[in-house]
Amino acid sequence: MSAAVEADRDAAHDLGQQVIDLIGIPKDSWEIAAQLEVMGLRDADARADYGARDLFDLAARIDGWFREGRFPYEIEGEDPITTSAFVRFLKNYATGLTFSLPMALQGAVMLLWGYGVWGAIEMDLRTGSAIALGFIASYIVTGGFMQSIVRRGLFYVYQQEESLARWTALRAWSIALRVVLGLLVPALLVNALFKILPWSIVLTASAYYVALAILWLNWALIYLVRKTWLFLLTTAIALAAVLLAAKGFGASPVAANAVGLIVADVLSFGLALLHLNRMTNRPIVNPPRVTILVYSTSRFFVYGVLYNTFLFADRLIAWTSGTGREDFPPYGFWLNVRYELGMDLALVVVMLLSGIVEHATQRFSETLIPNEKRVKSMDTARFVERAKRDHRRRTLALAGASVIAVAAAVFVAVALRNFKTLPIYPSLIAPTTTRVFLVATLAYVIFMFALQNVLMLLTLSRVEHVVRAVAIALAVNVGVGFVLSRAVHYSAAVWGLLTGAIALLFFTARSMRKILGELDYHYYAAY
Amino acid sequence: MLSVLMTTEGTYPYSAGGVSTWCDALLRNTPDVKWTLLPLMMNPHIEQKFDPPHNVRKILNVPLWGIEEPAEFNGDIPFAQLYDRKRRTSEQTIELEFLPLFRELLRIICSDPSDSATLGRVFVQLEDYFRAHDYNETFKSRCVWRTFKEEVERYTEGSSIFDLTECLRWLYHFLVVLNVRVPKTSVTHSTAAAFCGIPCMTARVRHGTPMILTEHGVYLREQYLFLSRFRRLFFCKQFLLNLITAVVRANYHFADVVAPVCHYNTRWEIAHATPQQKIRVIYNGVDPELFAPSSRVHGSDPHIVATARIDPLKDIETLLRVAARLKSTHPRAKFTVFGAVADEPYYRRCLTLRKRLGVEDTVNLGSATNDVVSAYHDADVVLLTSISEAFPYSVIEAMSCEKAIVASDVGGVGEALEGCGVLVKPRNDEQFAAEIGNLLDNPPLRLRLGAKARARVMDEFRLDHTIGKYLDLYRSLAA
Repeated sequence: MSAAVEADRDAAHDLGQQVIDLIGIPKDSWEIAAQLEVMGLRDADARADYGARDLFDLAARIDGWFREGRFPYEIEGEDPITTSAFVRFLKNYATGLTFSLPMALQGAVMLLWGYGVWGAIEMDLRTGSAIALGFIASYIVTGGFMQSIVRRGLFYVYQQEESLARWTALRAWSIALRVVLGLLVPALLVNALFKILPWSIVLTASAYYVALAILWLNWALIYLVRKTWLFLLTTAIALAAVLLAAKGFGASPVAANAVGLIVADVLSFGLALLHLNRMTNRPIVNPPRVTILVYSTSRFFVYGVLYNTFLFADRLIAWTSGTGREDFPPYGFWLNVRYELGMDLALVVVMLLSGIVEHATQRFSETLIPNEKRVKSMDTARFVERAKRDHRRRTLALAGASVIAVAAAVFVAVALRNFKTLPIYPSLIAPTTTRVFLVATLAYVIFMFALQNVLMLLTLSRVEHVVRAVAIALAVNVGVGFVLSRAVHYSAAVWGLLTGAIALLFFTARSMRKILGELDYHYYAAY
Repeated sequence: MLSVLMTTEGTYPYSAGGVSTWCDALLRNTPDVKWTLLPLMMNPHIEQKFDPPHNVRKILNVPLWGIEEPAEFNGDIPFAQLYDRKRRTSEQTIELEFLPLFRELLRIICSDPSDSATLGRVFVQLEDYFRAHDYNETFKSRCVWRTFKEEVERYTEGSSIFDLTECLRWLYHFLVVLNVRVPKTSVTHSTAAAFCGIPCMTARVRHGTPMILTEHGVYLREQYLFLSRFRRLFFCKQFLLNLITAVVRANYHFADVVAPVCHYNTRWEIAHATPQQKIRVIYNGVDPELFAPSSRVHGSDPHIVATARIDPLKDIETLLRVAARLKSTHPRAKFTVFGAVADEPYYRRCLTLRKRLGVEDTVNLGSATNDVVSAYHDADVVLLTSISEAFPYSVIEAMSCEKAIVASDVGGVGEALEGCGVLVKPRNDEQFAAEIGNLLDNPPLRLRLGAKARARVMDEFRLDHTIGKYLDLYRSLAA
């Protein structure tokens, strides 16, 4: 070999190493040729400087040397995870808490100063019933819209189409508001025709219904912009406004509530809009077809309506039953403080477990891709086994946390009995309250296991499984609750919640088992 | 009346650049042709950069990403019909009607990307299938996933579950174009040997409609470059490049005429089985009235102009080094780069280099202009430092404006500039600086080169000539 040929060969080898350093493993010589071209090399250079016929020939030589193992190369591993497991848990737990802390704050303020954003301890039962009716109606009517705003909005956020996320969210918000107001018309007409409730209750309920519906819709927008800590901020400011109106200006409880709700509504909408506008200021182009938009969101809408109805069905059933009522309800719907108190105390379990469920769901979603990368497709069984093992571990962790949460709820319920001056003290020590509290605590624990499954199924876009499970659970909840509340005791409606939660857990666990067994397919199809 | 289906990918009318400029000129200057435009776009929510002229009768947008239902933008089909398709798409139908085609497609991708004739037939049958069945229900079905896994594992090895997930999702997006029903036209014209060529190929197989393929860049090469970034995902890179190679080769196979914009592009085309006799180079053209010389006298400082977006392929870093070198010999010389920032990190890198080289006062980077003609008129020398080009408009526009040009000898630049401009080896900042210095010191030479460049444009790169060649091609094929 002549010195010139050898020099060309060495130069070509050095060039090859440069290319391999740049691209890692080349697919073939064409990939190398493409790189050589953008390095500014031409056929003339391949001939003059590297002794090749042309660039393609030079690329083929380099590829050949690579296949012979002449070039060392390195492929970077996955990016290391820098956050510690504990910090990750704390972060996820705090995110979970942002959903329940407004509830806890309102409960604490109610006990300490007697006022919430909706409701006050000194309110008469008539107003309390109206608020309860407005609250439940607002929650059920907006449930579908809240899910639609969040799911469709996040779909666009993940696609980096923030302007469309904003557009669809605000459009859904305005349609929802029109539906909320529109539904008042038939409700008032029915009441006018059949005289179900007195107008004072109906009008108060309607006002709370509209104000609270707006608040839930605003919170859906806030969830979309991923600023869930604003739930707590808006609640705190609204509570301060209520207290100022009531204690500072001597406003009546309803007037103070009105101030608080207006503040909450305006503030939450303003903040949501601010963050939506911050996401983007681009105009939208080519919005999707409305029919397709409605179709693709409809399953989430149905899920939202069913889910929210499930959460409050037992209260509606209990408060429309006269069986065993100590307070002789004057109308078809009448709030019962003992039942409500039992349910509220049981919510401590939900508050404490929501962070655990949030963490489990986050980890499920975060570990899917790394686990998929680690396992060869030929060895899918190993991937599935690991997913099942992780799921069992998370379920056990939730079980452990549940024991602590139940203990904490019982502790709170017992501790409150030491405050004999509390206006709710007589209700607190009533056997009905204790019974409802114990059954509801168990129901909520089971519900949280089911909710963990629901959220994981939604992560995999298996909304049809969730809709089916929630629909069955709601039917069980309503069926059992209705029969027992009429045949045994009004408070036995809580058994409807318990059996409904068991049904929800059963069906979602069955879906999870099926889906984990084919997790590779379900993850693929979740796009 | 002549009717033409033009298909584009990531270009006209939704983004600026050479291909879009070419498309717009062709559509606007052929008022007697009835056009149907089918743009493949990354997502449906981008603004039009061009308003297509009135002879464009229909635009069939095909977004590949950013949609939940491929039918979302298929306005011709009523929702009831789409819903009916969903209802009819059972696991059994998929197994019976879709999977045999899907297996064939995977065989071609994984083991024989050069079987273009079969691929064309498979595309037609898949189009037929999706006229009766739902795209989403089919692709997201359990049996499609299982078949994909089995078939890919049969032909290849070493894939992780993640690799397969990604590959099938990409396939889902790339083949969305099979949902579109295009009208029958006299000729089809694909502006890239890419997925946008699929409707042209199927029209060729279905009705025998003649197909023209114009390559501005080389799609296959661009995809090789793009996917080189997938260092950690070798399997995905391999699968996608096999898919793209199969589609590119099928484009070459079914096109009656392959009309690249320069001879340089034919190297890749011929290497990928395009018969030489199919190739007919048609150079881009400019309007010499619009890009006319000017007698205007600009400021006294020597001015070097580049019209290039801020992108690594334009090698702005070399331009900065050239400026630094020239500063020592021609301290009053100023550089302006007219063009949008296409790559933000690269732009930041350039700004850092500009500062390090001490040419912040010398080089003006990333200036926007709507008046590119004036930009050329203000130049003493027009500079192009690109490391990759096909047949750039910036060169022939500057030639038309009678400018002296110093350009890197890449792609088809030499074909335009040979004998009427200065060609330099890419990245050679020393030679670039020397040649620019020489031109700045020698105004008569600048004038001579400029005049020759203008004459060359008048002879070979006039827009009306280019349009005429395409019209002749359409007419001869349609006949």
